[in-house]
Amino acid sequence: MDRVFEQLAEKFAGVFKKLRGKGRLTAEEVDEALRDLRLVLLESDVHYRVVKDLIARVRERAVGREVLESVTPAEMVIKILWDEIRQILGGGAKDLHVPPVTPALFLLVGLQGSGKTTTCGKLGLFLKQRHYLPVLTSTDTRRPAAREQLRILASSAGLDFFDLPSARHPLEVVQAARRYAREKGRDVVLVDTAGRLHVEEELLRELQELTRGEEFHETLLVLDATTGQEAIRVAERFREWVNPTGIILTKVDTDARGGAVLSIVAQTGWPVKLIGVGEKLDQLEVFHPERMASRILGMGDTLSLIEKIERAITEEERKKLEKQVTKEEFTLEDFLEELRRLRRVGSFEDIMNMLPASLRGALSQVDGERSLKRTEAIILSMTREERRNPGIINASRKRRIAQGSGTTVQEVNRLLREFEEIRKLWKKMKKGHTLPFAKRKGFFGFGF
Amino acid sequence: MEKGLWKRWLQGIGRITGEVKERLKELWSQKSVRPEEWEELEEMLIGADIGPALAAEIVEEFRRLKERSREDTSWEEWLYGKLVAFFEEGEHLLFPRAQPETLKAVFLVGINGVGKTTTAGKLAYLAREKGERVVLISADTFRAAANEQLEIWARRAGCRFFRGAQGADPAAVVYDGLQSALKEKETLAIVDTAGRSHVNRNLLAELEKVSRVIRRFLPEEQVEHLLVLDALAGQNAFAQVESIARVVPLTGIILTKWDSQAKGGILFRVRKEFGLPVKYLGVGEGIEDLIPFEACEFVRAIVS
Ligand SMILES: Nc1nc2c(ncn2[C@@H]2O[C@H](COP(=O)(O)OP(=O)(O)OP(=O)(O)O)[C@@H](O)[C@H]2O)c(=O)[nH]1
Ligand SMILES: Nc1nc2c(ncn2[C@@H]2O[C@H](COP(=O)(O)OP(=O)(O)OP(=O)(O)O)[C@@H](O)[C@H]2O)c(=O)[nH]1
Ligand SMILES: [Mg+2]
Ligand SMILES: [Mg+2]
Repeated sequence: MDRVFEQLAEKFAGVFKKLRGKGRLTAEEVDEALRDLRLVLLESDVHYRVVKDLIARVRERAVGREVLESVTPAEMVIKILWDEIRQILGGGAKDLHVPPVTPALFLLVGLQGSGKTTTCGKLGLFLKQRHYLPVLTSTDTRRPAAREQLRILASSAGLDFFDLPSARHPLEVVQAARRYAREKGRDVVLVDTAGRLHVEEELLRELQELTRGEEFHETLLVLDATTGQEAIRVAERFREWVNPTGIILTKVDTDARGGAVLSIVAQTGWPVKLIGVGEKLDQLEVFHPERMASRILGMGDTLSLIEKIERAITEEERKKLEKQVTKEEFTLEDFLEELRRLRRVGSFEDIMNMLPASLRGALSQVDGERSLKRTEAIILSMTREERRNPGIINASRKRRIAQGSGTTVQEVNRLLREFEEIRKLWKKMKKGHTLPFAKRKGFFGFGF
Repeated sequence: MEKGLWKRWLQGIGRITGEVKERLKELWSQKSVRPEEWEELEEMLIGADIGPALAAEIVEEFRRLKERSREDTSWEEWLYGKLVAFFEEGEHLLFPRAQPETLKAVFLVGINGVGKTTTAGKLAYLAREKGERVVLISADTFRAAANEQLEIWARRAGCRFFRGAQGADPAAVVYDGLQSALKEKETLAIVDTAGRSHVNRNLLAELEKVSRVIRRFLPEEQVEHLLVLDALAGQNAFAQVESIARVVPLTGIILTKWDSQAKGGILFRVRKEFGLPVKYLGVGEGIEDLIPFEACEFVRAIVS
């Protein structure tokens, strides 16, 4: 995982190196940068037509004053692209809406193996946790043991499962499930279907008959994040036959960049309702367009972190920070200040989760909020001299600091070790290993 | 090969190449080609999931060929040469060096939902038709109803089924399974594994362990480690090959859902970048929907 992110980071560092340090950008330079970005998008499985549109739009916006006169033109180009992607992905973003009818009917559709049955179980649990009373049912009579699979999932999550083995047609199952739900006071019926290819007309027709025979409040296309260029045709065909109301993106826990979802949303405007991040039933999460945009661009979630930090930092602090990053040395005082800022910005976990994995590794020594507070106490117990020049901290000073902060010498040692690591990293970053966007903002004082 | 299947197979090939070939023909006959037109050709290739790098390479070669030559060169020949160079004759055969009547094992691995279990069932059927005595071993002790699913396939294929308890250690299940196969004097054990994300370290380690058990049990030439890939997958397929190849010694690929009309361009890229032969194509959900991948015929069908 780390290695993958590293590669992506490298890839990006490459793109940005080209853009950096040239001062103002000419139209040709923007074009050159966009050529690289085009490849990044294609490697992420964004459909080539969508890529083309995107690049054209970004070019239009980038080759203009905004970019050319900006202080950091490189950041602007990618930011415009990122914004564009985020806007597309977030366009129709709506929460999953359960209408006040009893019962509401949700239908899950998609290609073979995309994760419909698993997602049906996950969705059931998700709704149950929100105090709904869902009932799960399956119309899959084709895949061996498909209904058994859903039954097992339902029982492991303590969910109601309805089956009608005698049914001759999917519609019969759904009608019976609806009656069952009404009788038992269940408020949502989740209907799992057999997987089908977008080229299997008979099977799509069967699905269409189902959606015509019953009113579904949501028809969700379950989409595998690893899907390639064909995704766009999949969406077109499903739209023709059943017109989905939204997408659930699965297997987001792989390192697939998920360009397929951008292709589909750009094409159809369907909102992404939820994402699957593992095989277990509780591994269903809400969708963050900006995280997905970063992911498609191969940047971890750096950008959402930056947004968040941007909101929290006052203008004044920002200026101070700017000065700090241009400074040559990174001291324990800087470290302390960063820690405090961090606390204001959000929970530590939040922040860690948004970092690219390569950085997360480097920083994980400083784990958790609690240790954040202890770290702060240790630094506060040092003299100014010690903070600026930790080299002078000998054994007796360590004992004093430990006593003063109510910690142990081991903890002081660990902090000093960690600080040294971070300082090294910071130096490396300063030498041009920076990742995009962080030049002036930073985390622990170094850009990433 | 059964006729209907063959036809479907060819359809698949036509889909990969129809558009592209049409375009090549047009460009070849044009006096001059505008940069946008080259770009369009490249995009068409990318649209077939062969990846931006390989697409650029093909376009570039074609462009040079066009510049260099006049009437006497044929782009069809070039294309044939180019494509055929991806593969080797007979590389789709399983166990080329194994003695007959010995126990052999096919180990199926891949990420979630690509079609491992279904392929195990189809492969069992195919092998039985060829006279092998087959056992299907389910090492998926995790996914709900995975055992039941494979058991149904075993019944369809008419072979023995071996399973472990839900939640049992897959390596132990496989060990017992192989032991029982020896006892029953079977000649082919097909081992189905649980789908797993290729970035999940623990699950990869588990795979490694199962593979080690098989390799301790049987000599190298009697084991095939086959990675199942979904024809609809995009560039992530390469990350899948790369990371799984790091934990088990892959000997080939099975590409499923070929009936999806996805252009399946990953087939070329996998061969080029990893040197792994494609063994079979999955072309549907029925028991007979698995066909051996014969590269030369495949390429001939593309170019002719
Ligand atoms: N890693 C990962 N695996 C997932 C996720 N969602 C589903 N899966 C796995 O994907 C595989 C296929 O899931 P299913 O739910 O059976 O897929 P399906 O769409 O119902 O399949 P068919 O009914 O055969 O079309 C299973 O191994 C699931 O455990 C996810 O978010 N992450
Ligand atoms: N159209 C088509 N569907 C296929 C093909 N191979 C498998 N499938 C379908 O894909 C879905 C998933 O297949 P499985 O065999 O359960 O996949 P798996 O890799 O064992 O899944 P997990 O064990 O959950 O990881 C099922 O609905 C299969 O019927 C194929 O070649 N063509
Ligand atoms: Mg299913
Ligand atoms: Mg399986």
